[in-house]
Amino acid sequence: MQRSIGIRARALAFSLMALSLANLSGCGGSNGKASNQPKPSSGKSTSAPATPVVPNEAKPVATPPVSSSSVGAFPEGKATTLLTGVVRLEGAAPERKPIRTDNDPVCQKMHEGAPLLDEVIIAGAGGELANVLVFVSTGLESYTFDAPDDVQVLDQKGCQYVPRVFGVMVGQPIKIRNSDTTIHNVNCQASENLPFNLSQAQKGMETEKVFEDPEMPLTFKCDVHPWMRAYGGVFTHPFFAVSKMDGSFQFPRKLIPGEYTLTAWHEKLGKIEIPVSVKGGDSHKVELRFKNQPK
Amino acid sequence: MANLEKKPFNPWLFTAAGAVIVVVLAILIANSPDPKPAIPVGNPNVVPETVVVPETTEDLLAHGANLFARNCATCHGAKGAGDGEAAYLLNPKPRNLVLGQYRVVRTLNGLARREDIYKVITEGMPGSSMPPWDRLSEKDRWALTDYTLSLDSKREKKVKKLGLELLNPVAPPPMDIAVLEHGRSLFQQACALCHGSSGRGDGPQQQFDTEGYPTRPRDLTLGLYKGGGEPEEIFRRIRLGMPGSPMPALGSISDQDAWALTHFVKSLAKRDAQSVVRQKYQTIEATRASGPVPEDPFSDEWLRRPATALGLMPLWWRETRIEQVETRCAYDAEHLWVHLAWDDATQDDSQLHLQSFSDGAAVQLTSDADPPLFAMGARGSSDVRIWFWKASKQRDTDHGFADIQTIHPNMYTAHYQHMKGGPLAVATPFLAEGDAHDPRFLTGRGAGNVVSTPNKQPVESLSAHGIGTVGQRVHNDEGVQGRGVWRDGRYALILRRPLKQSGAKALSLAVGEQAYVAFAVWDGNLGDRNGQKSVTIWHALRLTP
Repeated sequence: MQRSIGIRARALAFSLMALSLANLSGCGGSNGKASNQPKPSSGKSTSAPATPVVPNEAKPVATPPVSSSSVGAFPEGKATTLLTGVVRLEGAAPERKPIRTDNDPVCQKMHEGAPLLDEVIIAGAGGELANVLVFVSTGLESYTFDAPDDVQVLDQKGCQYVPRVFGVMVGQPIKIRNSDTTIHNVNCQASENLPFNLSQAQKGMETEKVFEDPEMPLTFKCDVHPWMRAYGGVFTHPFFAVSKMDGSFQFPRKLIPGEYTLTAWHEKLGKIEIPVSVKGGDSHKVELRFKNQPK
Repeated sequence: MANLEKKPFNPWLFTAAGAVIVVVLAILIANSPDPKPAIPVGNPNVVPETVVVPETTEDLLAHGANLFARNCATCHGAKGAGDGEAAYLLNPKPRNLVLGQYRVVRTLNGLARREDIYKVITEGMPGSSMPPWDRLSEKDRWALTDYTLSLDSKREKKVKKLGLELLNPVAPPPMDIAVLEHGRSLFQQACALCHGSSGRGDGPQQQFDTEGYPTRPRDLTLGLYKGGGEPEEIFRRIRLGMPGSPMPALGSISDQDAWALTHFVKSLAKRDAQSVVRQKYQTIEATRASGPVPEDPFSDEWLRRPATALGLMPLWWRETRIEQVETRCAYDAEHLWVHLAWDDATQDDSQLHLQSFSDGAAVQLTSDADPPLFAMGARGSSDVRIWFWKASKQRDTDHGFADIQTIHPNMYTAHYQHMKGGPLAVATPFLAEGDAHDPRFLTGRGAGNVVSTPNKQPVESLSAHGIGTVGQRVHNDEGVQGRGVWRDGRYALILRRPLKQSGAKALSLAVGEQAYVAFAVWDGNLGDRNGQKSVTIWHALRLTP
């Protein structure tokens, strides 16, 4: 298995952008809520459902054309700035409703007393929004990155996917595991990558998968337990992170100063994009705000 | 059928050489430049690379596109998106070929190899309405294969990047009770939720394919498998799943476990069911009758002739169905005779209740050298001829016309109070008591509409040039006659037509020539009517000298 590959990120970002809309509706369609997906903010439209709040920058990003000769390895030495931020939900967070798990007595027993709660929107009292996948969508076209050897685990535990939202790099292995004593299947719906549908009937079963093309988002679902959903992003670079319970996120590596577009994606609330101008310094903090669209 | 009935009985009807010869694929193999079968069925050790197959060229693809438009588009759609005009009649749905998710694959990553598609095109998919195309030449089938694969625009890129590495089943472990028991226990854990604990396809899990259509898991006791019933094929379906369907890959179990499951799944099934259902292109020989042909469809002289058994497929697949129709054909100087026999436990020969549907059978004929689609022909091709026999029409012919008033003789007097004897009786009621057949109120019949007119004979002569174009040949210019009888759970039917026809669009048959024939059977008890029926593919019909 080739795990460490240089990836040409030019053009992929464009296809990612073009694809993301189509993919959003494709995945949202599984629960019939595609029309609730907010459109990405274009910068021109002030009536866009999710208006980005950009504390540090207001200028739209103009992506400079990149010639193929300028594509090269990411200059690690010039990377100075750690991008961090927080994602918030404006307005009241919806109540997390208990999920009926009685179609599988094993799942039901596991959550006796403390029912499994709906995970679609998880927001704190101050609107801190978890499970948002934040990634650089433009600005890294000139660089190539090696895929890490770290294995991303997608666990099926307590009749839930853990984690529910994750990102990996192209070529990075994903270990799919069943930690439950019941049957799960992992039905991965992909369009750029090969879709697969894997059954894991026994506790402890593991299968490794690798995605060879960037795609955002991939949907994983369990047909046995219809509430189980996971979403993955496959990127050509390592600048992505998932917001935690406190809404915070932090890219795993430092960026070099420059102009970037940051995209934040939520399974239900849609996608917002903001321009970010990294000027240097140790860190650069952004705040991203989603608006909840009541039905 | 008056003529038929008057003929005397003659025990020696046919020439001695009149045995019907069932030729399975022989013509195709004989015509093939490569005598080796392209797909070694059931032998996983033969690696497909050794098979001599034509190279994919622009010419081959263009040829495939033509063949696809002619033979596949009616169900799969002009662009292969599974949305052809017949798609609504079919379950399982015709595959959306644009998605590139083929159910029967042998690669680890689920991408189809050419050989996988070729095999499905050649053998069809038992348990669905995908027929085999073994009537077409090998080159035609490869052309169709390549064109089909080209419908998935992302395929080339994916194959280049990801390859087509095969899953080669390891040798199966010896089977014994312990292995079977292990298989049973695995089955309960991994399969029973969908296939049911006894494998009858009745598990509680709701199922949808990737396009959102509801699907049903296979009843494994029937012994019908879309991808073939050989143990190696079942092993592959277990390990690789069926892309696009809810059948997942059991990729996390060991080969030993997969074999134990395979053995157990095989042990559930009826033997040889696949060969009964699987349609194969055959040649039906019509033999010369040396004397009068008996008019009784159940006469020994008919039934003792060797029959050609043809597999039937319901368009909307179901497990309760008529599996086969047997045919025996003969001709004399003037007529062609087609004898059909099939099992049907119930005689349904009345359509007079809303919930009643008639049994029936039809013969479809064309003399085109390259026949149009077997599903009612094709637009732009010459008409296919259809002889449509219905049990309800036979009953009308035999016992007199029956309609609603036959089963509800008091229907009018019960409803109209102004009639004689009613509380509001008038001297001259506009509808005479007990008369439902006043032409003033039966406008269709009054106008001579053939559909409204009482049946005088049990066979209709129809022609069609594509789905939705079927029309009655009003004056029965083909001169088709017939008689069908149900006895002890079985139908036997004789249809007869003059060999020679006159007119511009005549379909004449001559000794030594070949036509194509297909059959359909309706089971009224199961609600069959119109497009809800079981059909065969085209078979060759030859009048042997």
